[in-house]
Amino acid sequence: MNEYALGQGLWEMGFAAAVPFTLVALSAMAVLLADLWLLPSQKRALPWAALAGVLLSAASVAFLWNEEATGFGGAIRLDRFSAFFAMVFLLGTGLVVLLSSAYARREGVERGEYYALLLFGTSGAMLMASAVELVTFFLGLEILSVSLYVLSGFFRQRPASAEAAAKYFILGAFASAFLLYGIALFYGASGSTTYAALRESFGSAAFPYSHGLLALAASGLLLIGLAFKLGAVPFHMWVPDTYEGAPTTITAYMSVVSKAAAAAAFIRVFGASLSSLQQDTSAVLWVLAVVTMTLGNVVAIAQTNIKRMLAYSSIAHAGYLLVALTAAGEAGYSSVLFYVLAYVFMTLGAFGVVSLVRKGEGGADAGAEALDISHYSGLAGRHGLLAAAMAVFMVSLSGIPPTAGFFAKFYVFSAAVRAGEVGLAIIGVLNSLVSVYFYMRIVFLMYMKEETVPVRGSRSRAGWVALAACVLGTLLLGVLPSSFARLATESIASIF
Amino acid sequence: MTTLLFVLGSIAAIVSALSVVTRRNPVHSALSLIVCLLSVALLFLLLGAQFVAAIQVIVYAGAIVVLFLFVVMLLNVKDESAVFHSGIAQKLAALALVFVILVQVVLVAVAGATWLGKEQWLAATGLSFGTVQSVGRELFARYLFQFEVVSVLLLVAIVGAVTLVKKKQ
Amino acid sequence: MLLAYLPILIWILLCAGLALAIVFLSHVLGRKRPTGAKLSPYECGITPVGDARSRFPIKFYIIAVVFLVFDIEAAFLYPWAVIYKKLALVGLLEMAVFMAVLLVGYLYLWKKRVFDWED
Repeated sequence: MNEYALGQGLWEMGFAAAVPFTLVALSAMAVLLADLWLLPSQKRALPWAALAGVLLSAASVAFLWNEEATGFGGAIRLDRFSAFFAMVFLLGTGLVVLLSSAYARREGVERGEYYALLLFGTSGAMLMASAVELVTFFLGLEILSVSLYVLSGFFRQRPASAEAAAKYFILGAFASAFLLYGIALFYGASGSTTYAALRESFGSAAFPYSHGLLALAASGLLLIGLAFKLGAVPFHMWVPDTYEGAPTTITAYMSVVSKAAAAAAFIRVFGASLSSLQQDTSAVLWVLAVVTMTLGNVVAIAQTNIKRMLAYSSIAHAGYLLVALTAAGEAGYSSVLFYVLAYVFMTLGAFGVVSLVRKGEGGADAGAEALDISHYSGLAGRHGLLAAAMAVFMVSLSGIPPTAGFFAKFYVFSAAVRAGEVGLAIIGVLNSLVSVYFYMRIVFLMYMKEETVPVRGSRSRAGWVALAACVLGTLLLGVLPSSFARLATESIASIF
Repeated sequence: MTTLLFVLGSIAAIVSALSVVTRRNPVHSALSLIVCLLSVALLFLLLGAQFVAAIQVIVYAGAIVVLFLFVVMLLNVKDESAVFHSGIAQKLAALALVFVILVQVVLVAVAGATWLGKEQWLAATGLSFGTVQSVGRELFARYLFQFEVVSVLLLVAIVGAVTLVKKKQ
Repeated sequence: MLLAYLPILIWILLCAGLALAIVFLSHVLGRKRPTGAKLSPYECGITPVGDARSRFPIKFYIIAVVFLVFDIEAAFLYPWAVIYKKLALVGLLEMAVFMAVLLVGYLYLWKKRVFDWED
């Protein structure tokens, strides 16, 4: 056996760990190439091709559900944790593809690149969650980021979309630089880029002080990069403008997939590998959590554009995630997983409704997106089902039972209390109370007010299927949370 | 000899880097950047990292600066000083940031050196460390998965650039 | 160990010397009979008037980006090529997969008519 690992079978090298990623990336390429030969009338097949890729990869994850494998000399790992997050990303992507099938055609962006980049982004997110090596993680993050930069600027003719892409790109490139600097420092300190080596170097408290200083500097830089992806204050500047300017379906995708991917990478690096630094990171996270929750919720109150309001709401939810990450431990991290799953349904649902509602006849801009909060006045009278779905998502986002959002927050805050962070939990609950105001305002407008601007809902069947799935998921997690919570706990147990 | 080259290279790098941020004309900034990147390439060479030095010249000083110049020409702002106006507060903030990073770099260098010990550093930075062969050995054996993933990233970059720029047919 | 780079230094000096020598010698040896047309820069029929920084079409930009991507691809080929024999079949397959993915990008560019200068 020589050093080039000759003669080893791919499977022996742990190829299994890379199968779900490879399948998504291959389907992205297939969609990209198929688009080049499709006639304009056949473009309708694109979302279904993308959906087939998502399902294929999901099937492979299901098939490998009970497997464990480390691939390619410790680059990527398949375990229950990777599988859980892969499923979350694929679920989110599948729902976004369904929502996009009508939205993209109406907005004139039904192009192969749109779906290909969605799938590429998902493959990057999957790498972030399953990487056990810093370079692999970074590549995953970049694949996801570059796809999102382009997707948020997909409406090339609209200045708002270009602004969204430019702001996201410039700040994102900056955040990537910080992250890369942190990775370089970790490499310098431990001589390797694998998480296993990080755990070995910093796992015991016996490392010298100067070494610890290096680890702290590196952790800080890595934290900045991840906090940017998570949209945590003070690295949130891009969130409102990018969420507002990007195509609505892409905004939904961004808020769900890239946040979940950042949380997954955070748990693998800081939770499973650098737990010896936990006291220091928790102190920083505590502050981040408090300012993120508070700023998100307070500023959301003042918004008049629904996408901007949901953008600040997503900042606030990043704050709740940070509460769970501060709590750390198996309880804290498994509450992150539950939260992420609940967040997929309720946030995608809310953005999904926004993507389906349009201005009706009569106005000069009939058919344009109805993005002002006042457009939702009296929606219940005209579109009872859409209004009811939106109400479910708003109730869930504000954390009222019996919805997914309630149990998501319940697990997060109880994990915080169990970790001794009572103050943080109280601040979190107070923040939830504030958030009830702006979420319920939408419900109030829809049910109690008269219609001001005529709006109409899309009749896209795929869009309605996605919405129905979101409502079902939101309610299911709210009624039967325990089996999903057990799933989250099992997934966390697989990486400790 | 090495020390002399190091001092010359570092001075050139610092002076040209300062020139990059102080020139009013962005074309001059980009040209200074080439000098800066070439001086850093020399420093890489002194560290025995010949492959990185070559890449620095080929990719950075070559392709990336050309891209910068294209963007400058593309935007065609006649008087950049009007666009790149920065107040005293911004300048102070930038100075503070530079100071923090400088302190950090020194700390890291000191901390790394004292912890690892001189022998280990020398062992790690031996003659063969940065050769093209040893980079290839690492890249195609230990980092083979990452190498393949890079191709996906490059593909996404191609698709992204064309999507944002190319006119509809 | 720096001595190993001496041939490269000599080569650089030779190149620079040759370039300088050509300019210098032609300056010294050439006969000069200046006329107005000869003194104008780029005597190629186009009046050299106006701002040097005219606006570029975006087509140049996309060519530059694509060049950058394939430049990086080529950068990966160097370390592969120098140990190609040792890597044997595994190395060939690795590079084949890498190239195949970028070939998808190449096909995409081709079909999108990025390489066609005339629109």
